[in-house]
Amino acid sequence: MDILLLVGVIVFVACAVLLKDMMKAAICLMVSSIIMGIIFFRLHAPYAGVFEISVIAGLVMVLFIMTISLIGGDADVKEPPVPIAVFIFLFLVFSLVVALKIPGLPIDQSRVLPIGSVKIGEVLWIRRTFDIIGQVGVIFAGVFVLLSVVGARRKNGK
Amino acid sequence: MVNNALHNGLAYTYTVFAMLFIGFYCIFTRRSMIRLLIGIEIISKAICLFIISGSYPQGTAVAQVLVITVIVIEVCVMAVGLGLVINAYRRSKSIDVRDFSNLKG
Amino acid sequence: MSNGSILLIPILLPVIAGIICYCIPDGLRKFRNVIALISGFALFLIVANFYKSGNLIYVSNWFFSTIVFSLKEDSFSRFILLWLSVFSFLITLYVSARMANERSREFITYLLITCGFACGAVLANSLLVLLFFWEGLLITLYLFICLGGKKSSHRTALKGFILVGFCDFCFILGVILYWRITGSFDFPDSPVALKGVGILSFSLMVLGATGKAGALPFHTWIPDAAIDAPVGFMAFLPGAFEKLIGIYLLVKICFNLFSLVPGSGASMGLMILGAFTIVIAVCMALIQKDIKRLLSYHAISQVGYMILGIGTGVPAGIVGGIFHMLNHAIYKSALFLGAGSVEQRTGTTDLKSLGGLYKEMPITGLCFIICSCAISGIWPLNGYISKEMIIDGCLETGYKIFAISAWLGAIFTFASFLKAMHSIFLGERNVSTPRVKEVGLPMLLPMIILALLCIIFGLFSSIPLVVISKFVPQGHMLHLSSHPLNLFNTVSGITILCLIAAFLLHRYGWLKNDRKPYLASEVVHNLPVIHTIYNLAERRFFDIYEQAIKFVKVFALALYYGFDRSSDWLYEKLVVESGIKMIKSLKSLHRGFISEYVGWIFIGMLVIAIFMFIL
Repeated sequence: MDILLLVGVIVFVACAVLLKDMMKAAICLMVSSIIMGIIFFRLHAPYAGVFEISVIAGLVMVLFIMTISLIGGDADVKEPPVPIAVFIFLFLVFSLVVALKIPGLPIDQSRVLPIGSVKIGEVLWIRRTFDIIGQVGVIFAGVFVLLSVVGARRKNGK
Repeated sequence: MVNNALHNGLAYTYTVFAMLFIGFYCIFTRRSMIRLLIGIEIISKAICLFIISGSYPQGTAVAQVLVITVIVIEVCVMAVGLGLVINAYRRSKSIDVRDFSNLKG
Repeated sequence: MSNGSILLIPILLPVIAGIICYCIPDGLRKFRNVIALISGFALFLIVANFYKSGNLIYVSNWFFSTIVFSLKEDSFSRFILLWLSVFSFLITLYVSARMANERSREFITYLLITCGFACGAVLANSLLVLLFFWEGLLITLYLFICLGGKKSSHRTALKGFILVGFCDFCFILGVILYWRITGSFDFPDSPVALKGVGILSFSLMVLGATGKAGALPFHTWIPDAAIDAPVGFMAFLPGAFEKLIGIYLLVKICFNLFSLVPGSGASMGLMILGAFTIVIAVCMALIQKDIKRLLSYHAISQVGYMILGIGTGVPAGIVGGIFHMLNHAIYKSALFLGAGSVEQRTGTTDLKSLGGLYKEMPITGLCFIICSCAISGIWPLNGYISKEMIIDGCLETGYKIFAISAWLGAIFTFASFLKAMHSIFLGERNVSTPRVKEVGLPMLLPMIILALLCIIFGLFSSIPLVVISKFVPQGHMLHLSSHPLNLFNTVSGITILCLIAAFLLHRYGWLKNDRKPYLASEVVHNLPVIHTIYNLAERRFFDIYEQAIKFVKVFALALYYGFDRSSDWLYEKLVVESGIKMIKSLKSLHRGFISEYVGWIFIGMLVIAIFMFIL
């Protein structure tokens, strides 16, 4: 089951990269996000899964589709014929290296804790307050940039 | 489902790296700026998967918090990036990155 | 004032009088001259008083530091001080009348300050004190020459400063070496033997003393100063003062600091220096056409006689040398003052345009002729006595070559002074100069006094000789009665022959060159090899200062191009250009394609991963 999910993620991501139509690519990305969220749920990370689905599969995709419809006649001309074979070859080499040198992800059964032993609220707000501040800052930055970009439109055009 | 050990931790590693490679491929070879942003998106997803799968089976709060942070940042990056793409399109009617090399060197 | 602080007066009185004179404006010029004259006369009286009161010593601390400032006067210092005061008085008298329009305020100031410093140098009892006053004289030397007002005065002043300064520098080095030998800066009670480091110290000090007095090879500024400096200066410093204190220091070095043994290497060195100076300077003097340059070259040559005399080391030679110093001061000052009078009345010093002035300036002419005869060594004037004693001293050492050089000098001296006398005062009246009157009394009086001194010291030479032989080692062993006025021995016979030879030479040259007296020495000038040497010398080929200047110019150019320009090139051209090229080549790597940039990032990450995880 998990392998299927993983394979599904990879397939949809590859479609998102290789498809010529932007709309279809964005929708493939959205689907892969949803599958990713399911994987997160299965890995006992409900909050991450919720975030993933709601934010990425929702918000970012909306942004993408808005942009693509604004751009309209998309200019994706003349991709250079870089052979994918090179990348696949490199990937295989890399996998070999990884398989030989880096041990697998440490799944240590002896340290299994009951789920939810530490409250996520406590970690999020108290232990990682610095991250929250960073996120707030970045959100503000994003808002400002968008306002300036969009505001220019209002000034120039209609 | 709760106590199933996952099939193999290595599969997650391979998935993550495969997604990384696909994301890099996208950034390397695509000329449309929107495609570049898709590539960045893919890479961020790979990282999130890596963090979460690394914390199995605890489902540690720390890992989730990190992932939440990464997703928030990624959203802002996407928003800003798309705003810039729209602005660039308005200026020169093209979203080909090779047209925007005025500041090189 | 029995503790000896009266010794400070000869130093402070002229200096303070000089500063006061500097502050008096030109409108009160007569008042200023009176102050200078009074201070000179007072100095003379005070120094004469020393003869009564015996040896005085004054010791104190120098400006609240631990260096001891000690003054001492003994018989030799008293003697020199007396003559310093006499000369400064006489020249002040001369200058007060002459420089009516020129910068007499500064001249009188510098004159008085120089007198004060020279008195300090003579009175010093320790080498440090001596050095202090010695160096102070350099400054007034420079300032004096600058007063000349000619276009090249500053250049000559700098030349004099550097040459004499270099001599003083050698003297300082000698003093330091002497301190290494003896361990203190005071004059020792018994002199140090001359060996090892002492020889180096001795030669450096001698170089310093004789260079200041004006011997070879540091003499080249004096003829230039003769043209560029006021004539009062020429009478004052190169004529009188420098010889007095230079030879005073030389005697002190040879007999108080070190012990000069007759016949030793140092004595030979001094005598060779003296002989060279005599011959070379007098040959240069022979061909000069300007009276002031002629007189200055003779001043250099006469210093050679003094050094020769002192270098012999025998009492006859030493007494002769010191007496010659005194005589030279007397007649050279008188000659310079005479030339200055002629210049003031006629406006020129060129021998070509002067002639036959005896009728219009009789007293000046008479003094000039007396002093010319004195400097040539004509019996019975004082120059004859001192020259005889020097030649006797040379013969006592056993090397006849020095006596021969002294006789050669005598020939050419007399020939050149015959030329001078003939051209200026005797002979036909040259029509190119207007009719002139005799100069005023203040200018005549010093000349008359000095000429009279020449005659008196010639006829009654035992008076000064007895005084001098008191402070010369073993001087009391001299038989003074046998030398003066004694015509009937070989030495004086040869001298008289030399004088006659000079007279014949002059007459031959005069007749050969159209009876023009100023061309009388062209006979010697136009000899084949000598001619080229003379031309080179006149073009300053042998002048070490000029050659050093040329070398310094070349050296500076070499440094400029070698170091300065090349390091500039290195920093401004090489580094900058190569930097620009490197940056251009790096810039061309940035082509503006994002995929390439991502590729660079990827490769970088790979490299880091490899290094971190695998290696």
